Amino acid sequence: MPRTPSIARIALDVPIDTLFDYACGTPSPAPGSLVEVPFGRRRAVGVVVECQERSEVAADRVKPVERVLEVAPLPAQTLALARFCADYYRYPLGPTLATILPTMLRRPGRGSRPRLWGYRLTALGRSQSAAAVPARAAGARRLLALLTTHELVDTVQARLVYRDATRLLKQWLDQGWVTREPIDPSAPTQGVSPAPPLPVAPLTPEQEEVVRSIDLRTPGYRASLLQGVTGSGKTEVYQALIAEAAAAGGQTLLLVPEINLTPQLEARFAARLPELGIVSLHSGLAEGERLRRWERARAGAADIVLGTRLAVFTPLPRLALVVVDEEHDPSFKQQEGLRYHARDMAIYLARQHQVPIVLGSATPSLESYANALAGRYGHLHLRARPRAAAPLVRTVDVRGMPLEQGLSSELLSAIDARLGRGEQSLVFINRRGYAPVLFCSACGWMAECGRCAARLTLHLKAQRLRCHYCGHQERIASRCPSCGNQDLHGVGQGTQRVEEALVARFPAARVLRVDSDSTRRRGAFADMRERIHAGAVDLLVGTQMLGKGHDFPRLTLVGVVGADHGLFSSDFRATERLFQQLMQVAGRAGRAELAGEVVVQTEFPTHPLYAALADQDFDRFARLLLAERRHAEFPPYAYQALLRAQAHDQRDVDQFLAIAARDAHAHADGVEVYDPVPAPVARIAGHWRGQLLVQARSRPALKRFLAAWHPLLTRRKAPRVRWFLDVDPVEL
Amino acid sequence: MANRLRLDATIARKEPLRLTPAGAAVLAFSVTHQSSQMEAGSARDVSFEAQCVAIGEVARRLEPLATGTRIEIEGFLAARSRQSRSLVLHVNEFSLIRG
Repeated sequence: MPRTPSIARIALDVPIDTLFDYACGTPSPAPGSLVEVPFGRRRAVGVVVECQERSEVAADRVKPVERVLEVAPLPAQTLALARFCADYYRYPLGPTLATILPTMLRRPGRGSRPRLWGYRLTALGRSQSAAAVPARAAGARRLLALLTTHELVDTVQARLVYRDATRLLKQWLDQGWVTREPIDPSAPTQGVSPAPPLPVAPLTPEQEEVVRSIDLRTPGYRASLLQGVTGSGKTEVYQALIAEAAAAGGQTLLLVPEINLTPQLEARFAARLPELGIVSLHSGLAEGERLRRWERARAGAADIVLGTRLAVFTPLPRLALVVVDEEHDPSFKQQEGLRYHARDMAIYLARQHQVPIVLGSATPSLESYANALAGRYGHLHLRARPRAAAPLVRTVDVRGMPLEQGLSSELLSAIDARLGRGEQSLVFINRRGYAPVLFCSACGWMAECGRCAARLTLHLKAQRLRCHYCGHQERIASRCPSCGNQDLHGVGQGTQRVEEALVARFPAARVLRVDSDSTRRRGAFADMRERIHAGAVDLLVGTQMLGKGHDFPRLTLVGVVGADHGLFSSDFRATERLFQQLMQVAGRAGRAELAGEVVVQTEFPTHPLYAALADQDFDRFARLLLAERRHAEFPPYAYQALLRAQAHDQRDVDQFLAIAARDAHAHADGVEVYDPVPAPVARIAGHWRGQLLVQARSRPALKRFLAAWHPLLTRRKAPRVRWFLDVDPVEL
Repeated sequence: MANRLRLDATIARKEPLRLTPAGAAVLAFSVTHQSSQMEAGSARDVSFEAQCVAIGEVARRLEPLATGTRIEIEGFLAARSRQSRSLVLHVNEFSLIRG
């Protein structure tokens, strides 16, 4: 009797929601194994999801698995997390796994996986280096010190003390100062500190109470919302918890919103908890480096895994605690491909591992806030600011007021006073460029993008008109194409214009603009942060890049300009977002010994948002917004999915969405189906965009509905339409 | 359509020279005018002040001139903007009046 071959069901990175059957030898590879298989005319690396006795595919069409890669299979929990994620966000499992695994892990072909190298100082290096490396080469000095104190230093550790360490180590290898050897990624990593270790400040009674109530010694899942005002020491609480988890042999996953914040936090944790191994994971890493770090984390070698949203999928064998810092931040939601929300995945992860999770923020998302109010999450508070007083916030009514390039005399004189005292000021304006519109006052023409339903932004420095949606750029029109008038104007304020106005008004001040244009160069933002810290800057102009988590001790004044447009957006989350942003940016003022002041320029001084901001009362405004949301039946009291579609021809979009709406109504049991509408920006890069919102009272109802609706959409033939589902969209 | 104006005038006030986003110079200024003109067969005194603008090379040549300088202007009239229909004299050419 012929023996039936064992069948491996494999997830491949192809946009079809199915598993592929391949024949495998016995014993069959464990689920989670990475395998190389023939697929069409190419070879692909996939993940074994399950093995079974027979296939529904005819035996002669089942191809064999070519080889099992020499990496440990993904743990069952990681595979389960990926399956949950794929299912919840209606994304095929193969592409889901491809998203969450380091690219290098799943590259077909032999060998060439990057090794983790360890470096050892030689006798020659020991004797020569001290004299040869000048004292002013601080990074090289730190690296040398590390090699002296640690017998074997891997590249992950080395780069923690000096950004450019890899290049230097290669050079020293050639000079015979160091030798190198491959390291087993599962070998425990030793903590390294980029700076002299900092003493851990004793916790305040309030912080201690928070640590006590999270109570790591009691096993099991529970979620806590840690609501702590800016400067109340959330990070100190995390440190205490991480140290406690590590002392009991546990790993902590710490998720942070922004890649820009990771090096800073990494250095801070390394200095405070010098004995713990720390690995950071974010999208700014080269592929090889990412894989090395990922392997360190999954091998259980790191005590702290610090990363941006994708890090939530890292297998962590000793996971004991999950922390999501700035949990309200929209960047936790991926906006392309697999549109997952890392905070929500972190909740699932914690539940799966039966470990506590802490969601920290000064301004929690209304979703988490409502969960805390309803008692589903613990609600912990840090109300005291051990190192600062609450900033004094006042609004300036700019209606009918003469402004100097958009800046009021109140704000300018407040800046002047800071300059006189040698303190820093920040003007916050969430719009880059010089002016958002190029306008002809003779005929009313405005420069528009030819490919988008959007205006072009004037960038005076680069002498360009740029589209902030599609990236198109062109020369600045020298005359109005409609009437010929040459005297065109930039209307409205952007960061560049504010910068120019401040330079003109305060010629002796050192002005620095921080936005995504001025920080484009690699490392530029880090350099700027150093200059700000060193006091080499008097006046900052910046977008929300500067709002998050940066602690500038000399900054005592924040001016808010042009925030009003966030009050009247079609997106119901806009006010929540604006309030969070302004609370965060207001928290930048006066963090250390100096009292802070916030001056908000507005045409709506009586708006409840500004009143709550002035009182620094998050809870009041959050409750107000929640009442509105409940009344309007919006999240968090409803669960939404948004079908987004785009095509070259608007009719294709309309037709597809009309059919999709009909399909939806057919299954709309307990689900509300809105009418298809154009996207807020109805055309981008030549593609018309439309959307269709569906909403349910409960998560299971939405999930059931999507499970019925999504396959129908997939079967509709609409070859000219690109579409996708966004489950729990954070932007409408 | 004819829209041509010739005027002997005196520079009264000048705003600082500015640049359009594309880099062309713009000078906004005002002039005064006093003369005797014929009206319905008899002479009368005329005086007024007019808002002017010059663009490009003309603006750069006008910029160094002091207030009180007398110039002969050639240009055309246009509305200040879509909102304000008040007139502005756009200067295409000018020359200094000696003596």
